This record gives sequence, structure tokens and C-alpha cells, in this order.
Amino acid sequence: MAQICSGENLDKKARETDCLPETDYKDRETQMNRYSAVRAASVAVIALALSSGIAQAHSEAGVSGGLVSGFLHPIFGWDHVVAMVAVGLWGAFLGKPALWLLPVVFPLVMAMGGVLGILGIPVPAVEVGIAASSVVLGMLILFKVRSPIWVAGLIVGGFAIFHGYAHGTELPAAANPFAFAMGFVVATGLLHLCGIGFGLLVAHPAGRVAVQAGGAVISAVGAAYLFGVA
Amino acid sequence: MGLWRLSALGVVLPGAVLAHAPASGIEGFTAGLIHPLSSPSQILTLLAFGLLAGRRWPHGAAQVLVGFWLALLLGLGLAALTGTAHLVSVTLSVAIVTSCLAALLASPDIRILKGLAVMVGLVLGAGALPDWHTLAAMYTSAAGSIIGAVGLVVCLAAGIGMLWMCINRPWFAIGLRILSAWVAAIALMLLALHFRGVVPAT
Repeated sequence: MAQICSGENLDKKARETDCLPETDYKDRETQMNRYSAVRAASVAVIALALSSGIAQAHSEAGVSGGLVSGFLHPIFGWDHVVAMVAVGLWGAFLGKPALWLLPVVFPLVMAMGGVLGILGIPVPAVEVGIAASSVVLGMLILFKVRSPIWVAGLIVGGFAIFHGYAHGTELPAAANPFAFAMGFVVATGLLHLCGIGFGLLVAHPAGRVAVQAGGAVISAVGAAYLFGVA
Repeated sequence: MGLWRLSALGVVLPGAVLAHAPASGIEGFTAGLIHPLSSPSQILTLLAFGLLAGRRWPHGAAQVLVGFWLALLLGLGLAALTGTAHLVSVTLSVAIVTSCLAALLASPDIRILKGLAVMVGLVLGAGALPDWHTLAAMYTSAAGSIIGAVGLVVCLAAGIGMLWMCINRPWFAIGLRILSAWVAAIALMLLALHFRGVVPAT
């Protein structure tokens, strides 16, 4: 930063040292003020442009927009999350072929529930069905119930209808139905995989206890939704 | 100052670019080449078939691909003769059948694969009829569509097949079946949306 020079032999002093005569300094100060004002304006323009981008993204996402809102749709509802994890957990607990069959059956039947929602065909007690799915699946894991594979498929498939219906009713209003559908199907599948990953702990005695405890938590969360506590 | 202007321009420009349709201004061979990726129903059908065919790659690959290619030509020819537009509901139905089989069959039979190759080729060929002004433009666009569709199927099936040969673990096969179930679920809901008139007929 330049300093102001004053006193005698002003020009000589200014040449010898890094200081400016008072008049030059004021000119430079004015220039710098102008530069700062332009810089502030540029920052404001960039900030405005960035914030308008955020606003567009928000309005597009909303309740049902595209891929991201579809992906977040099952994740933002704890009743959905615990039920999806429970499907993977129970599949891992039952072993092969349930390990892969349940995560295959669930999205297929869930899509049928989605179709009912899209076409506006009423399904009674959807929220109760979703909460009940967590309670029942959590109990099955907690009490280590080993049902035949077709019974497991029926139970999981039956509950999948309610989950699919809840997503399907949002689809027609989505800004991009294809992206929204892809988002929530992928999110559902990834939650199953989380459950399977956790469920593979059953190979160890301590892991078995952890998985059963997980079943109890899932059941408790479902019960909280069922009785309106959550 | 130049840097600030450039930064401001950089922030504003993406919005302007997004305002354009992705395929705007693309014509002829290139338009045909990317045509199979132009609608969700065609993408899902290709993906489902690739997931199924990849599980048997490279066994019977030549027969399946020749069947697919001939069916593409036949579908394109039939569409040109009858003036049929892209049938979204038929394409989605084929995608559902193919992906359900990919999800439920542990090891698809080669005869099933050949049948599906013909079915998928027919619907994709029928949907690949380009808008044209001259005969030359139609031929170049149609050639692009056929090369694009065959290329995509080869890439998908060969890619999945080679991955399977490299990984060779049960979880990979399970993953492919789960992925196929996701494709079936999405296709089923898109079909319902189409019947409800939500998805445009593209």
C-alpha cells in the first residue's frame, strides 16, 4: 500500500521512496474505490446467478420432480426406510434363495402397487399397511422366524403393494415421471442392499444378536407410526 | 475484471445451454445413431435385453445378434410400409417381459434368448423409422439407427458377459437379477403412466 508524502522536496521524495504525493494518492484512492464497487457488483451478479439456480432446482424438485426427489421419496419416510431394510435383513436371515428372491419380488410387486396408485384405483389403509409392514417384518427378524420361501414371498409381496401405491400416487404429478420412478426404485433397492449387508452378520453369533436387535428397532419404529406416535 | 466477467458468464451459460433440447440440430446418421436412446421405453428394452443376453455371453452370441439385426431390419421395413409410429405400449410390454425373464431365470435358455432377440429387434426397428425429407436422408438415418441399436446391445451384453467372467461370484449374478427387477418395475409403471396419458408417445 502506498503512503502519503508531505513536506519539502515532495517530488524527489516520492521518486526515492514508495510514497505518493497527496493529490496522486487521492486519485488512486478514487480509482480503487471504483474498482471495489465494480468487484462488489460482480460478486453480487455471481451470487444472484447462483441463487437463482438454487431456486430453480428447489421449485423443480418440490414434492415430486425428477430423479433426486424420486430417490429421496422412500428415504425421507422412516416407515419406508425401516421396512425396506427389514426386507433385506429377513432375506439375509433366511439365506438362499430368499436372499435374492425377496429383493427381486419386492420391486416387481411394488410396481404393481404403483400401477394401482397411478391409475387411481383405491387401496384401503395404505399408511397402516406401510407401518404394519415394519412391525411384522421386524417381529419376524426378532423371533428368527424361518418361513417357507413362498410364504416369505407372499408376506413381502403383500406389503410391497402398500409401499408401491404410496409412491405411485406421486408419479403422475412428477415433472419427469421416468426419472422419478427410476429414483425411487433404485433407492428402494439400495435400502434392501443395506439390509442384506447388515443381515450377513448372522454368520457370527454376536452379529445374530445385532440383527435380532435390528428387528426389534424396526418393529418399534413401525409401531410408532402405526399408533401415531411418530 | 476479465476473470470476474468470465466467472459470471460461466455461471450464467449452463442455464442457456440447458434451455436447448439435447438432440436439437442433430440430423442424419448421428440422429439415427442416438435414436435408440431417445425414449425411456427403448432404453429400458435395450437394458433388459442386454442384462439377459450378457448372462450367456459369448455362447450363441452370433445367432442372437444376427436374429436381432434381421428383426431390426424387418421392423423398420414394416414401419416404413405401414407408416406405423413408435408403439410405446408394445415396446414397454416387451421390456417388461424381457426384464421379468432376466430377473426370474437363473440361466436363460438360448431358444428363449433368440425369441426375445427377434421380439426386441422388431419393436426397436419399428420405433426407429426416422422423419425424412429425402430418400437419402431416410437411408442414412435408418442406417444410423440400426448400427446404434446393434452396437448398444453388443456393448451391453459383451460388457456384462465379460464382467461376469472376470468377477465370477454368485453375488454378481444376484445383482444382475435385482437390477433386472428394477428395470421391470420402472417399465411397468411407465406403461401405466402411458395408459393414463402422462408419458408422451415418444
